[in-house]
Amino acid sequence: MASSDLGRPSNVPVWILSGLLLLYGALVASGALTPMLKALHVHKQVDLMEILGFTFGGIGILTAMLRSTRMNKPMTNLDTFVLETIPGILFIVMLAMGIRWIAEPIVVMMSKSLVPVLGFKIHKVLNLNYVVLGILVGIIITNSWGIPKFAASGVKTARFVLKMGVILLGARYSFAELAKLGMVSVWMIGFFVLGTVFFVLFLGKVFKQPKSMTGVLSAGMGVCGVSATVACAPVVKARCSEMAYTIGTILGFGILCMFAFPTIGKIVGMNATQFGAWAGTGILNSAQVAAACLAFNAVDIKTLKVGEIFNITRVLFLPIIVLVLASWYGKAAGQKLSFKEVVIDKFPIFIIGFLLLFAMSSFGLFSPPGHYKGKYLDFSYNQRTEVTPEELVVLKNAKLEGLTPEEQAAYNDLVKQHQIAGNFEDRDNKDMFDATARKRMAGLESILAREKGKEITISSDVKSAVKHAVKQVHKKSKTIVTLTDAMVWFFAYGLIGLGMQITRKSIAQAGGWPLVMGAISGVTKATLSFIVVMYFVKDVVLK
Amino acid sequence: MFNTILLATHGTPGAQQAEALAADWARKTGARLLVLSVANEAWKDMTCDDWLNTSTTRNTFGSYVEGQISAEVERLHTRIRKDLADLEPDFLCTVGKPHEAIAEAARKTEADVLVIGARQKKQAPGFKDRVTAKELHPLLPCPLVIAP
Repeated sequence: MASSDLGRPSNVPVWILSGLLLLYGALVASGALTPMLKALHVHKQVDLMEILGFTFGGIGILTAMLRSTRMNKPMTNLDTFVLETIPGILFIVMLAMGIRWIAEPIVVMMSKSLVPVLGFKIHKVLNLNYVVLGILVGIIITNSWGIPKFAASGVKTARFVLKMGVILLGARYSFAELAKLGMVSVWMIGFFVLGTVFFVLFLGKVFKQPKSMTGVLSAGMGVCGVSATVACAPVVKARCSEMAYTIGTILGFGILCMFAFPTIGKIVGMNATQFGAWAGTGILNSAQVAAACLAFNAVDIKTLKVGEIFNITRVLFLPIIVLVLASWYGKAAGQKLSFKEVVIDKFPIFIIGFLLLFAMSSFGLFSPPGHYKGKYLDFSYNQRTEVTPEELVVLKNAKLEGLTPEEQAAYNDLVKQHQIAGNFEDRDNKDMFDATARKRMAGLESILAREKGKEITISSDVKSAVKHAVKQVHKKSKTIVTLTDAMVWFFAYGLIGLGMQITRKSIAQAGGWPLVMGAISGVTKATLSFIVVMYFVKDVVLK
Repeated sequence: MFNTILLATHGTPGAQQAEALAADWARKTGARLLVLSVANEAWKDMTCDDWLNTSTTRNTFGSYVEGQISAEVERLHTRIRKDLADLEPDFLCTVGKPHEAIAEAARKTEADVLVIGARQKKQAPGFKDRVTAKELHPLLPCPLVIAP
């Protein structure tokens, strides 16, 4: 199992990773880990843990076996695209599982235990959920030990997987949502992208900076951060130092925003639409827009839906900005760009996939008639089916009087399980599990009905939380639920992988005039977009 | 005294002091002057977390950066070739981590001495990645001279 002379990384890590995944799946299936998982409050995810553990463990074993037969042989496409890629995929999947089911709960527990010392929950302030932790872990790995050699090829799949996440997200929009959000985003992005581009060009003139530098900086600050810098640098003939300074400035600003935006958004009480619009406009780097939206709310994907529409609008503006900068710079350089160079090469193909999923979903391909309008009830354990942490606090503190024993039991179980569900012990017997859940749902609906009939009195906060719990189990389609689950994992996977692309040296390049001009334009953009969002962007009802 | 003097330079004010010192010693000793330029491999990570672009755009960027670095090195070598025409220096360009690439070049060329510029208070414009004593010293196969 030693490394071959053809430069193939060792097979040992693949055997170890696969073995660990299989062992984890087996321990979860046997129930040996249940007490620990209960203590970490992740026991409701055991089914998914088993599926992921066995599936990826099995794939890993198969890969390790095939790789051992291929050692010392010339590389083929099968080796390059499959056998040498899977180890890195296993590495990220294992990290994602560890972060979601072990690291995040431990961080939350530690944060809660530090409240007497700090006076606040640090995980809430820094939004340390599994998405942010994933990016941080990625950054730490790449800047300390480095990406392990065996995982290097697989880590490159992060970009592709993140794009897959956006494509799957397409299934979650309705025509009305896309029309409303699209209109808001086109206006806001149009105004702020063009505004920032021209503002930076103006600053460049004020500070007497070269056109190549202001050109590349304006694209990075105005459109979509590093992606725009990469796309525009050759067009404006940016010099090495200008590119390095611009990328460093944008990255540093983006990482600061990833932590600051969600906290500010929560402090001022932004709703999902407002925060998604603000993050989608004010955060320079597109990867950090997705991360900030999931940091704001990783359970409910409403914020992500808004933020990604803004991201997509930004990237659609990119060819326009390339054209603007090419003609602005090209006059002096006498260069001409072809239609292929500006539009075809720059067009993000994954947006076609996004629109395809949106169209398929809109035409009902994922939702059989019986599943429309909440006829399909989903009581399965899923974080998205839970009430929000804020609602949970309200429910825990409420003292309800006049409830029947059935209503009281349903209410107590809602507080205990954070969602309408059957008993955890009965989860393998779906009929019994669902029957208990339906009984509990009836109990909660009875509370709401009796409150409406003024038989009992409950506060509006409690009523809202109970209503939300009931609404959460009404699903439109099982396929959509599965696609959404996959999408959330794709985003987590993609962001861990992208975190691994952020090196200390890249951020350290921030400096020179790009830092000065970038700080002025970045803060201006974030502040103005905040004001516009707070005063002019209303909530859009999202499904 | 010396047969081969290895001069590591990227043309900054600090490195130009090293160029002058190395040239002076080469004239005095009649040693061969070998000029080394290192293209920092950290450039390959500069697309960072870009995920929106197509691979065509990223490849275009990569080729463009390569071209820019080559052009910068070429400008530097042209200037040195002109300034030190009497010494007829040889030129070497490698890609890698600067400290590793310098030490590797010194080993491969069997240099008798390696000359580099001193750390300046204000860093010159360019890719920010200073070679540190901690990284370079353990790898050195020959004496190191830092030109003040």
